[in-house]
Amino acid sequence: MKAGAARDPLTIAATAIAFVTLFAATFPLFVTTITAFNATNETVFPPNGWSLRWFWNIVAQPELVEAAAFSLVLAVISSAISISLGVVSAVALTRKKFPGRDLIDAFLMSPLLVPQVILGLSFLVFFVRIGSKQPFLNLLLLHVVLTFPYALRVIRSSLIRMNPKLEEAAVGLGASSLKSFFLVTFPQMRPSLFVAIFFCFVVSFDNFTASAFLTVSGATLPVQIYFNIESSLDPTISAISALLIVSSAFFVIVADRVVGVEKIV
Amino acid sequence: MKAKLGVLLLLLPALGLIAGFLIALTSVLVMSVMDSSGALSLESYRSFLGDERNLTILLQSIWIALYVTVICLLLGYPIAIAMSRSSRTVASLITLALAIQFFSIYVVKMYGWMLILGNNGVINRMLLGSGIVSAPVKLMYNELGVAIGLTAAALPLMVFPINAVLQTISLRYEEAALGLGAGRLRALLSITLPLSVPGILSGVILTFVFCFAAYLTPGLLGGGFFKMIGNVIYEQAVARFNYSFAAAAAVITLLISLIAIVGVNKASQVLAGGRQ
Repeated sequence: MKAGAARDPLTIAATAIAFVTLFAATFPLFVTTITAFNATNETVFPPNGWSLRWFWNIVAQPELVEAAAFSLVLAVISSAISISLGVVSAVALTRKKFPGRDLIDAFLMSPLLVPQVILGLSFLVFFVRIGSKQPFLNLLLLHVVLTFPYALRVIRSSLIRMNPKLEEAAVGLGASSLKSFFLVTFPQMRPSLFVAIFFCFVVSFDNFTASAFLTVSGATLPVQIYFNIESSLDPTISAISALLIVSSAFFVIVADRVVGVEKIV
Repeated sequence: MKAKLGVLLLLLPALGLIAGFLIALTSVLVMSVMDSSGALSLESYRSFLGDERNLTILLQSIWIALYVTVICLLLGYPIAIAMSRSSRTVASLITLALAIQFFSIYVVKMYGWMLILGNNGVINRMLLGSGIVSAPVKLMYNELGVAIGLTAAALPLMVFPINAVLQTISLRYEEAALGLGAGRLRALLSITLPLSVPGILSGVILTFVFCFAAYLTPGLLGGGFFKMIGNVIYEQAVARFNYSFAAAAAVITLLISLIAIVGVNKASQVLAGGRQ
Protein backbone atom coordinates (compact mmCIF):
# COMPACT_ATOMS: atom_id res chain seq x y z
CA MET A 1 0.00 0.00 0.00
CA LYS A 2 2.80 2.36 0.96
CA ALA A 3 4.85 1.36 -2.06
CA GLY A 4 2.09 2.49 -4.41
CA ALA A 5 1.78 5.84 -2.68
CA ALA A 6 5.51 6.41 -2.96
CA ARG A 7 5.31 6.62 -6.74
CA ASP A 8 3.12 9.71 -6.84
CA PRO A 9 4.98 12.88 -7.89
CA LEU A 10 4.11 14.82 -4.71
CA THR A 11 5.68 12.24 -2.42
CA ILE A 12 8.73 12.10 -4.67
CA ALA A 13 9.05 15.89 -4.51
CA ALA A 14 8.62 15.84 -0.70
CA THR A 15 11.24 13.11 -0.41
CA ALA A 16 13.65 15.15 -2.54
CA ILE A 17 13.14 18.21 -0.28
CA ALA A 18 13.65 15.97 2.76
CA PHE A 19 16.93 14.57 1.44
CA VAL A 20 18.37 17.96 0.48
CA THR A 21 17.32 19.59 3.77
CA LEU A 22 18.57 16.73 5.93
CA PHE A 23 21.82 16.63 4.01
CA ALA A 24 22.30 20.33 4.82
CA ALA A 25 21.24 19.79 8.44
CA THR A 26 23.64 16.90 9.07
CA PHE A 27 26.53 18.20 6.95
CA PRO A 28 27.95 20.34 9.83
CA LEU A 29 28.17 17.20 12.00
CA PHE A 30 30.17 15.47 9.27
CA VAL A 31 32.43 18.53 8.78
CA THR A 32 33.03 18.82 12.54
CA THR A 33 34.05 15.17 12.78
CA ILE A 34 36.47 15.42 9.85
CA THR A 35 38.10 18.67 11.07
CA ALA A 36 39.07 16.83 14.27
CA PHE A 37 41.70 15.00 12.19
CA ASN A 38 43.51 18.17 11.04
CA ALA A 39 47.31 18.01 11.10
CA THR A 40 47.84 21.69 11.99
CA ASN A 41 46.04 23.92 14.49
CA GLU A 42 43.78 25.28 11.74
CA THR A 43 40.23 23.92 12.08
CA VAL A 44 39.51 23.64 8.36
CA PHE A 45 37.60 21.38 6.00
CA PRO A 46 38.95 19.60 4.04
CA PRO A 47 41.84 19.07 6.51
CA ASN A 48 45.32 20.17 5.49
CA GLY A 49 46.87 16.85 6.50
CA TRP A 50 45.81 14.10 8.88
CA SER A 51 46.62 13.40 12.53
CA LEU A 52 45.09 12.13 15.75
CA ARG A 53 46.88 14.69 17.95
CA TRP A 54 43.74 16.71 18.80
CA PHE A 55 42.10 13.64 20.29
CA TRP A 56 45.13 13.20 22.58
CA ASN A 57 44.96 16.91 23.30
CA ILE A 58 41.52 16.45 24.95
CA VAL A 59 43.23 14.60 27.78
CA ALA A 60 45.75 17.47 28.07
CA GLN A 61 42.88 19.86 28.84
CA PRO A 62 41.78 18.85 32.35
CA GLU A 63 38.79 21.24 32.30
CA LEU A 64 37.25 19.29 29.38
CA VAL A 65 37.78 15.92 31.06
CA GLU A 66 36.42 17.20 34.38
CA ALA A 67 33.40 18.77 32.67
CA ALA A 68 32.69 15.53 30.82
CA ALA A 69 32.83 13.52 34.06
CA PHE A 70 30.67 16.12 35.83
CA SER A 71 28.03 16.06 33.06
CA LEU A 72 27.98 12.25 33.02
CA VAL A 73 27.43 11.99 36.78
CA LEU A 74 24.81 14.76 36.66
CA ALA A 75 22.95 13.06 33.79
CA VAL A 76 23.01 9.63 35.46
CA ILE A 77 21.80 10.83 38.86
CA SER A 78 19.17 13.26 37.55
CA SER A 79 17.83 10.62 35.13
CA ALA A 80 17.62 8.03 37.91
CA ILE A 81 15.66 10.43 40.14
CA SER A 82 13.38 11.58 37.31
CA ILE A 83 12.58 8.06 36.18
CA SER A 84 11.80 6.85 39.73
CA LEU A 85 9.55 9.88 40.21
CA GLY A 86 8.10 9.31 36.74
CA VAL A 87 7.16 5.67 37.40
CA VAL A 88 5.54 6.45 40.76
CA SER A 89 3.62 9.48 39.44
CA ALA A 90 2.55 7.75 36.21
CA VAL A 91 1.14 4.82 38.20
CA ALA A 92 -0.81 7.23 40.42
CA LEU A 93 -2.09 9.19 37.42
CA THR A 94 -3.19 6.23 35.30
CA ARG A 95 -4.29 3.55 37.76
CA LYS A 96 -6.50 5.66 40.02
CA LYS A 97 -9.36 7.99 39.18
CA PHE A 98 -9.61 11.11 41.32
CA PRO A 99 -10.87 14.67 40.91
CA GLY A 100 -8.38 17.15 39.47
CA ARG A 101 -6.30 14.45 37.79
CA ASP A 102 -5.92 16.33 34.49
CA LEU A 103 -5.03 19.49 36.38
CA ILE A 104 -2.27 17.70 38.32
CA ASP A 105 -1.07 16.18 35.07
CA ALA A 106 -0.81 19.61 33.43
CA PHE A 107 0.87 20.99 36.55
CA LEU A 108 3.53 18.26 36.47
CA MET A 109 4.21 18.87 32.75
CA SER A 110 4.43 22.67 33.16
CA PRO A 111 8.26 23.00 33.08
CA LEU A 112 8.12 22.06 29.38
CA LEU A 113 6.15 25.23 28.61
CA VAL A 114 8.73 27.60 30.03
CA PRO A 115 11.59 28.73 27.76
CA GLN A 116 15.03 27.54 28.90
CA VAL A 117 16.45 31.02 29.55
CA ILE A 118 13.61 31.72 31.95
CA LEU A 119 14.03 28.34 33.68
CA GLY A 120 17.73 29.07 34.10
CA LEU A 121 17.15 32.58 35.40
CA SER A 122 14.43 31.33 37.80
CA PHE A 123 16.77 28.85 39.42
CA LEU A 124 19.62 31.37 39.52
CA VAL A 125 17.45 33.97 41.28
CA PHE A 126 15.98 31.30 43.56
CA PHE A 127 19.38 29.93 44.63
CA VAL A 128 20.78 33.43 45.13
CA ARG A 129 17.83 34.29 47.37
CA ILE A 130 18.07 31.18 49.52
CA GLY A 131 21.88 31.49 49.51
CA SER A 132 22.54 28.02 48.08
CA LYS A 133 26.16 27.80 46.92
CA GLN A 134 26.21 24.09 46.03
CA PRO A 135 26.85 24.01 42.25
CA PHE A 136 26.23 20.27 41.94
CA LEU A 137 23.04 20.17 44.01
CA ASN A 138 21.70 23.32 42.31
CA LEU A 139 22.28 21.83 38.87
CA LEU A 140 20.87 18.48 40.01
CA LEU A 141 17.59 20.10 41.04
CA LEU A 142 17.42 22.02 37.74
CA HIS A 143 18.10 18.86 35.73
CA VAL A 144 15.49 16.81 37.59
CA VAL A 145 12.94 19.55 36.80
CA LEU A 146 14.08 19.52 33.15
CA THR A 147 13.97 15.74 32.69
CA PHE A 148 11.04 14.68 34.89
CA PRO A 149 8.26 15.77 32.45
CA TYR A 150 9.83 13.62 29.69
CA ALA A 151 10.02 10.60 31.99
CA LEU A 152 6.42 11.11 33.09
CA ARG A 153 5.12 11.55 29.54
CA VAL A 154 6.80 8.45 28.15
CA ILE A 155 5.98 6.15 31.09
CA ARG A 156 2.41 7.41 31.44
CA SER A 157 1.61 6.82 27.77
CA SER A 158 2.89 3.24 28.02
CA LEU A 159 0.77 2.62 31.14
CA ILE A 160 -2.33 3.98 29.38
CA ARG A 161 -1.81 1.53 26.53
CA MET A 162 -1.48 -1.41 28.93
CA ASN A 163 -4.39 -3.67 29.79
CA PRO A 164 -5.20 -3.12 33.50
CA LYS A 165 -7.08 -6.44 33.45
CA LEU A 166 -3.76 -8.30 33.47
CA GLU A 167 -2.77 -6.73 36.77
CA GLU A 168 -6.28 -7.30 38.14
CA ALA A 169 -6.05 -10.94 37.11
CA ALA A 170 -2.81 -11.32 39.08
CA VAL A 171 -4.47 -9.76 42.12
CA GLY A 172 -7.47 -12.03 41.61
CA LEU A 173 -5.12 -15.01 41.64
CA GLY A 174 -3.83 -13.95 45.04
CA ALA A 175 -0.84 -11.67 44.30
CA SER A 176 -0.48 -8.53 46.40
CA SER A 177 -0.88 -5.32 44.39
CA LEU A 178 2.83 -4.58 44.82
CA LYS A 179 3.74 -8.09 43.68
CA SER A 180 1.43 -7.88 40.67
CA PHE A 181 2.97 -4.52 39.74
CA PHE A 182 6.49 -5.94 39.73
CA LEU A 183 5.58 -9.25 38.08
CA VAL A 184 2.98 -8.10 35.57
CA THR A 185 3.13 -4.36 34.89
CA PHE A 186 6.82 -3.62 35.29
CA PRO A 187 8.02 -6.14 32.64
CA GLN A 188 5.60 -4.57 30.13
CA MET A 189 7.03 -1.14 30.92
CA ARG A 190 10.58 -2.04 29.92
CA PRO A 191 10.54 -0.56 26.38
CA SER A 192 9.12 2.71 27.68
CA LEU A 193 11.67 2.78 30.50
CA PHE A 194 14.37 2.43 27.88
CA VAL A 195 12.92 5.39 25.95
CA ALA A 196 12.59 7.40 29.18
CA ILE A 197 16.21 6.73 30.16
CA PHE A 198 17.32 7.76 26.67
CA PHE A 199 15.34 11.02 26.80
CA CYS A 200 16.32 11.98 30.36
CA PHE A 201 19.96 11.26 29.74
CA VAL A 202 20.10 13.28 26.50
CA VAL A 203 18.07 16.20 27.89
CA SER A 204 20.36 16.46 30.91
CA PHE A 205 23.69 15.81 29.18
CA ASP A 206 22.86 18.15 26.27
CA ASN A 207 21.40 20.99 28.32
CA PHE A 208 23.21 24.25 27.77
CA THR A 209 20.83 27.18 28.05
CA ALA A 210 19.35 26.69 31.51
CA SER A 211 22.56 25.22 32.96
CA ALA A 212 24.67 28.17 31.77
CA PHE A 213 22.91 30.36 34.35
CA LEU A 214 24.13 28.13 37.19
CA THR A 215 27.72 27.43 36.11
CA VAL A 216 29.74 30.57 35.51
CA SER A 217 32.99 28.60 35.61
CA GLY A 218 31.74 26.09 33.05
CA ALA A 219 31.09 22.98 35.10
CA THR A 220 29.04 21.03 32.55
CA LEU A 221 30.47 19.82 29.26
CA PRO A 222 28.23 21.87 26.89
CA VAL A 223 28.97 25.05 28.88
CA GLN A 224 32.70 24.28 28.89
CA ILE A 225 32.67 23.66 25.13
CA TYR A 226 30.85 26.97 24.63
CA PHE A 227 33.51 28.85 26.59
CA ASN A 228 36.28 27.09 24.66
CA ILE A 229 34.65 28.02 21.33
CA GLU A 230 34.45 31.65 22.44
CA SER A 231 38.11 31.74 23.43
CA SER A 232 39.71 29.83 20.56
CA LEU A 233 38.81 27.60 17.65
CA ASP A 234 41.57 25.00 17.87
CA PRO A 235 40.69 21.51 16.61
CA THR A 236 40.52 20.09 20.17
CA ILE A 237 36.90 21.30 20.21
CA SER A 238 36.32 19.40 16.97
CA ALA A 239 37.88 16.30 18.54
CA ILE A 240 35.62 16.30 21.61
CA SER A 241 32.67 17.23 19.36
CA ALA A 242 33.50 14.31 17.07
CA LEU A 243 33.43 11.93 20.05
CA LEU A 244 30.05 13.36 21.12
CA ILE A 245 28.58 13.19 17.58
CA VAL A 246 29.69 9.59 17.11
CA SER A 247 28.39 8.51 20.52
CA SER A 248 24.99 10.21 20.16
CA ALA A 249 24.60 8.74 16.66
CA PHE A 250 25.54 5.36 18.13
CA PHE A 251 22.90 5.67 20.87
CA VAL A 252 20.22 6.75 18.38
CA ILE A 253 21.02 3.71 16.23
CA VAL A 254 20.93 1.43 19.30
CA ALA A 255 17.59 2.95 20.28
CA ASP A 256 16.37 2.34 16.72
CA ARG A 257 17.37 -1.34 16.96
CA VAL A 258 15.86 -1.82 20.45
CA VAL A 259 12.56 0.08 20.30
CA GLY A 260 12.42 1.60 16.79
CA VAL A 261 13.44 5.16 16.03
CA GLU A 262 9.81 6.32 15.68
CA LYS A 263 9.42 5.77 19.45
CA ILE A 264 12.02 8.39 20.30
CA VAL A 265 10.94 11.16 17.94
CA MET B 1 -10.71 6.98 50.72
CA LYS B 2 -7.62 4.98 51.58
CA ALA B 3 -6.87 4.58 47.86
CA LYS B 4 -7.10 8.36 47.35
CA LEU B 5 -4.67 8.97 50.19
CA GLY B 6 -2.34 6.44 48.57
CA VAL B 7 -2.49 8.34 45.26
CA LEU B 8 -1.63 11.57 47.02
CA LEU B 9 1.35 9.95 48.72
CA LEU B 10 2.59 8.59 45.39
CA LEU B 11 2.26 12.01 43.76
CA LEU B 12 3.71 13.97 46.66
CA PRO B 13 7.41 13.91 45.64
CA ALA B 14 6.64 15.02 42.06
CA LEU B 15 4.21 17.68 43.23
CA GLY B 16 6.85 18.99 45.63
CA LEU B 17 9.42 19.11 42.84
CA ILE B 18 7.20 21.07 40.46
CA ALA B 19 5.99 23.32 43.27
CA GLY B 20 9.66 24.13 43.90
CA PHE B 21 10.01 25.02 40.22
CA LEU B 22 6.95 27.29 40.36
CA ILE B 23 8.34 29.00 43.48
CA ALA B 24 11.57 29.62 41.56
CA LEU B 25 9.56 30.98 38.64
CA THR B 26 7.58 33.24 40.97
CA SER B 27 10.81 34.56 42.47
CA VAL B 28 11.63 35.97 39.01
CA LEU B 29 8.27 37.75 38.98
CA VAL B 30 8.92 39.15 42.46
CA MET B 31 12.48 40.13 41.56
CA SER B 32 11.26 42.02 38.49
CA VAL B 33 9.17 44.44 40.57
CA MET B 34 11.88 45.18 43.15
CA ASP B 35 14.50 47.91 43.08
CA SER B 36 18.05 47.48 44.41
CA SER B 37 16.98 48.21 47.99
CA GLY B 38 14.21 45.61 47.85
CA ALA B 39 11.31 48.07 47.72
CA LEU B 40 8.39 47.60 45.33
CA SER B 41 9.12 49.44 42.09
CA LEU B 42 8.63 49.22 38.34
CA GLU B 43 12.06 50.72 37.74
CA SER B 44 13.38 47.62 35.92
CA TYR B 45 10.50 47.57 33.45
CA ARG B 46 10.92 51.32 32.93
CA SER B 47 14.62 51.04 32.22
CA PHE B 48 14.11 48.01 29.93
CA LEU B 49 11.30 49.53 27.89
CA GLY B 50 12.84 53.02 28.03
CA ASP B 51 16.04 51.93 26.28
CA GLU B 52 15.73 51.84 22.52
CA ARG B 53 18.49 49.20 22.20
CA ASN B 54 16.47 46.72 24.26
CA LEU B 55 13.33 47.35 22.22
CA THR B 56 15.26 46.84 18.99
CA ILE B 57 16.63 43.54 20.31
CA LEU B 58 13.16 42.48 21.44
CA LEU B 59 11.61 43.30 18.07
CA GLN B 60 14.36 41.61 16.08
CA SER B 61 14.00 38.52 18.31
CA ILE B 62 10.27 38.36 17.47
CA TRP B 63 10.94 38.98 13.78
CA ILE B 64 13.67 36.35 13.37
CA ALA B 65 11.60 33.81 15.35
CA LEU B 66 8.64 34.51 13.05
CA TYR B 67 10.43 34.01 9.75
CA VAL B 68 12.50 31.07 10.98
CA THR B 69 9.19 29.43 12.02
CA VAL B 70 7.83 29.99 8.49
CA ILE B 71 11.01 28.55 6.91
CA CYS B 72 10.85 25.54 9.26
CA LEU B 73 7.21 24.96 8.29
CA LEU B 74 7.97 25.20 4.55
CA LEU B 75 10.88 22.73 4.89
CA GLY B 76 9.39 20.63 7.68
CA TYR B 77 5.98 19.85 6.16
CA PRO B 78 7.42 18.12 3.08
CA ILE B 79 9.83 16.22 5.36
CA ALA B 80 6.91 15.00 7.48
CA ILE B 81 5.02 14.06 4.30
CA ALA B 82 8.06 12.11 3.09
CA MET B 83 8.35 10.39 6.50
CA SER B 84 4.74 9.24 6.47
CA ARG B 85 4.36 8.34 2.78
CA SER B 86 7.55 7.11 1.17
CA SER B 87 8.57 3.46 1.25
CA ARG B 88 9.51 1.97 4.61
CA THR B 89 13.27 2.06 3.89
CA VAL B 90 13.29 5.69 2.75
CA ALA B 91 11.02 6.78 5.61
CA SER B 92 13.19 5.18 8.28
CA LEU B 93 16.33 6.59 6.66
CA ILE B 94 14.84 10.11 6.87
CA THR B 95 13.66 9.55 10.45
CA LEU B 96 17.05 8.22 11.49
CA ALA B 97 18.91 11.16 9.91
CA LEU B 98 16.58 13.63 11.61
CA ALA B 99 16.91 11.82 14.96
CA ILE B 100 20.72 11.79 14.75
CA GLN B 101 20.70 15.52 13.99
CA PHE B 102 18.15 16.23 16.74
CA PHE B 103 19.91 14.23 19.44
CA SER B 104 23.41 15.56 18.80
CA ILE B 105 24.61 18.04 21.38
CA TYR B 106 23.14 21.50 20.64
CA VAL B 107 26.39 23.39 21.22
CA VAL B 108 28.20 20.94 18.93
CA LYS B 109 25.62 21.48 16.16
CA MET B 110 26.13 25.23 16.32
CA TYR B 111 29.91 24.81 16.39
CA GLY B 112 29.52 22.76 13.20
CA TRP B 113 27.70 25.66 11.55
CA MET B 114 30.53 28.00 12.58
CA LEU B 115 32.93 25.69 10.69
CA ILE B 116 30.64 25.95 7.63
CA LEU B 117 29.85 29.69 7.72
CA GLY B 118 33.02 31.26 9.15
CA ASN B 119 35.50 33.37 7.20
CA ASN B 120 37.74 30.30 6.97
CA GLY B 121 34.72 27.98 6.77
CA VAL B 122 33.69 25.45 4.14
CA ILE B 123 31.57 27.83 2.04
CA ASN B 124 34.07 30.69 1.99
CA ARG B 125 36.99 28.38 1.18
CA MET B 126 34.99 27.03 -1.76
CA LEU B 127 34.04 30.50 -2.97
CA LEU B 128 37.58 31.85 -2.56
CA GLY B 129 39.20 28.74 -4.01
CA SER B 130 37.08 28.87 -7.16
CA GLY B 131 37.72 32.58 -7.53
CA ILE B 132 34.04 33.59 -7.35
CA VAL B 133 34.84 36.09 -4.61
CA SER B 134 38.11 37.76 -3.67
CA ALA B 135 37.31 38.36 0.02
CA PRO B 136 35.37 36.14 2.45
CA VAL B 137 31.59 36.65 2.42
CA LYS B 138 30.16 37.45 5.84
CA LEU B 139 27.86 34.52 6.61
CA MET B 140 27.95 34.58 10.41
CA TYR B 141 28.31 37.03 13.28
CA ASN B 142 25.20 38.59 11.73
CA GLU B 143 21.48 37.94 11.40
CA LEU B 144 21.94 35.49 8.51
CA GLY B 145 24.14 33.17 10.58
CA VAL B 146 21.73 33.22 13.52
CA ALA B 147 18.77 32.52 11.20
CA ILE B 148 20.58 29.54 9.63
CA GLY B 149 21.56 28.15 13.05
CA LEU B 150 18.05 28.56 14.46
CA THR B 151 16.48 26.90 11.41
CA ALA B 152 18.78 23.90 11.80
CA ALA B 153 18.20 23.65 15.55
CA ALA B 154 14.42 24.09 15.39
CA LEU B 155 13.58 22.01 12.29
CA PRO B 156 12.96 18.72 14.19
CA LEU B 157 10.63 20.58 16.59
CA MET B 158 8.46 21.36 13.56
CA VAL B 159 8.73 17.97 11.85
CA PHE B 160 8.01 15.63 14.79
CA PRO B 161 4.55 16.91 15.79
CA ILE B 162 3.42 17.21 12.13
CA ASN B 163 4.68 13.69 11.43
CA ALA B 164 2.87 12.37 14.52
CA VAL B 165 -0.44 13.73 13.19
CA LEU B 166 0.17 12.69 9.57
CA GLN B 167 0.79 9.10 10.71
CA THR B 168 -2.77 8.98 12.04
CA ILE B 169 -4.44 10.38 8.87
CA SER B 170 -5.61 7.63 6.55
CA LEU B 171 -4.53 7.99 2.92
CA ARG B 172 -8.00 6.79 1.94
CA TYR B 173 -9.45 10.29 2.31
CA GLU B 174 -7.07 11.59 -0.33
CA GLU B 175 -7.67 8.54 -2.48
CA ALA B 176 -11.37 9.32 -2.32
CA ALA B 177 -10.68 12.88 -3.47
CA LEU B 178 -8.48 11.56 -6.29
CA GLY B 179 -11.24 9.16 -7.28
CA LEU B 180 -13.63 12.09 -7.46
CA GLY B 181 -11.29 13.83 -9.89
CA ALA B 182 -9.17 16.15 -7.71
CA GLY B 183 -5.50 16.55 -8.62
CA ARG B 184 -2.84 15.28 -6.20
CA LEU B 185 -1.88 18.77 -5.05
CA ARG B 186 -5.50 19.79 -4.56
CA ALA B 187 -6.20 16.59 -2.60
CA LEU B 188 -3.19 17.26 -0.36
CA LEU B 189 -4.06 20.91 0.20
CA SER B 190 -7.78 20.48 0.75
CA ILE B 191 -7.84 17.12 2.60
CA THR B 192 -4.58 16.33 4.37
CA LEU B 193 -3.38 19.85 5.15
CA PRO B 194 -6.52 20.88 7.12
CA LEU B 195 -6.52 17.53 8.97
CA SER B 196 -2.91 18.06 10.01
CA VAL B 197 -3.51 21.53 11.49
CA PRO B 198 -3.15 20.31 15.12
CA GLY B 199 0.37 19.03 14.33
CA ILE B 200 1.24 22.26 12.50
CA LEU B 201 0.07 24.31 15.49
CA SER B 202 2.20 22.39 18.00
CA GLY B 203 5.14 22.61 15.62
CA VAL B 204 4.67 26.36 15.11
CA ILE B 205 4.38 27.03 18.85
CA LEU B 206 7.40 24.88 19.77
CA THR B 207 9.52 26.43 17.02
CA PHE B 208 8.52 30.02 17.68
CA VAL B 209 9.07 29.87 21.46
CA PHE B 210 12.36 27.99 21.03
CA CYS B 211 13.67 30.58 18.53
CA PHE B 212 12.33 33.66 20.27
CA ALA B 213 13.97 32.77 23.61
CA ALA B 214 17.17 31.40 22.05
CA TYR B 215 20.45 32.16 23.74
CA LEU B 216 23.05 29.66 22.53
CA THR B 217 22.60 30.19 18.75
CA PRO B 218 22.76 34.01 18.78
CA GLY B 219 25.60 33.73 21.30
CA LEU B 220 27.79 31.68 18.96
CA LEU B 221 26.59 32.57 15.44
CA GLY B 222 25.69 36.16 16.33
CA GLY B 223 28.98 36.56 18.15
CA GLY B 224 27.82 39.72 19.94
CA PHE B 225 26.99 41.47 16.64
CA PHE B 226 23.44 40.15 16.43
CA LYS B 227 21.86 39.88 19.86
CA MET B 228 18.57 38.38 20.93
CA ILE B 229 16.55 38.84 24.09
CA GLY B 230 18.04 35.67 25.63
CA ASN B 231 21.52 37.23 25.40
CA VAL B 232 20.30 40.35 27.21
CA ILE B 233 18.78 38.27 30.03
CA TYR B 234 21.95 36.19 30.40
CA GLU B 235 24.35 39.15 30.31
CA GLN B 236 22.37 41.17 32.82
CA ALA B 237 21.94 38.26 35.23
CA VAL B 238 25.25 36.43 35.03
CA ALA B 239 27.79 39.08 34.01
CA ARG B 240 26.29 42.15 35.73
CA PHE B 241 24.35 40.57 38.64
CA ASN B 242 21.49 42.88 37.62
CA TYR B 243 18.84 40.31 38.59
CA SER B 244 15.95 42.75 38.71
CA PHE B 245 16.54 43.97 35.15
CA ALA B 246 17.07 40.40 33.86
CA ALA B 247 13.87 39.37 35.63
CA ALA B 248 11.87 42.17 33.98
CA ALA B 249 13.23 41.14 30.57
CA ALA B 250 12.37 37.49 31.37
CA VAL B 251 8.80 38.35 32.38
CA ILE B 252 8.35 40.30 29.13
CA THR B 253 9.78 37.33 27.18
CA LEU B 254 7.45 34.91 28.95
CA LEU B 255 4.44 37.17 28.30
CA ILE B 256 5.22 37.42 24.58
CA SER B 257 5.62 33.61 24.41
CA LEU B 258 2.26 33.13 26.13
CA ILE B 259 0.59 35.68 23.82
CA ALA B 260 2.04 33.80 20.83
CA ILE B 261 0.71 30.46 22.15
CA VAL B 262 -2.76 31.85 22.84
CA GLY B 263 -2.74 33.79 19.55
CA VAL B 264 -1.87 30.72 17.47
CA ASN B 265 -4.62 28.71 19.17
CA LYS B 266 -7.18 31.49 18.64
CA ALA B 267 -6.14 31.91 15.01
CA SER B 268 -6.69 28.21 14.43
CA GLN B 269 -10.17 28.41 15.95
CA VAL B 270 -11.02 31.32 13.66
CA LEU B 271 -9.64 29.39 10.68
CA ALA B 272 -11.62 26.29 11.65
CA GLY B 273 -14.76 28.40 12.08
CA GLY B 274 -14.22 30.10 8.73
CA ARG B 275 -14.16 26.79 6.88
CA GLN B 276 -17.47 25.55 8.18
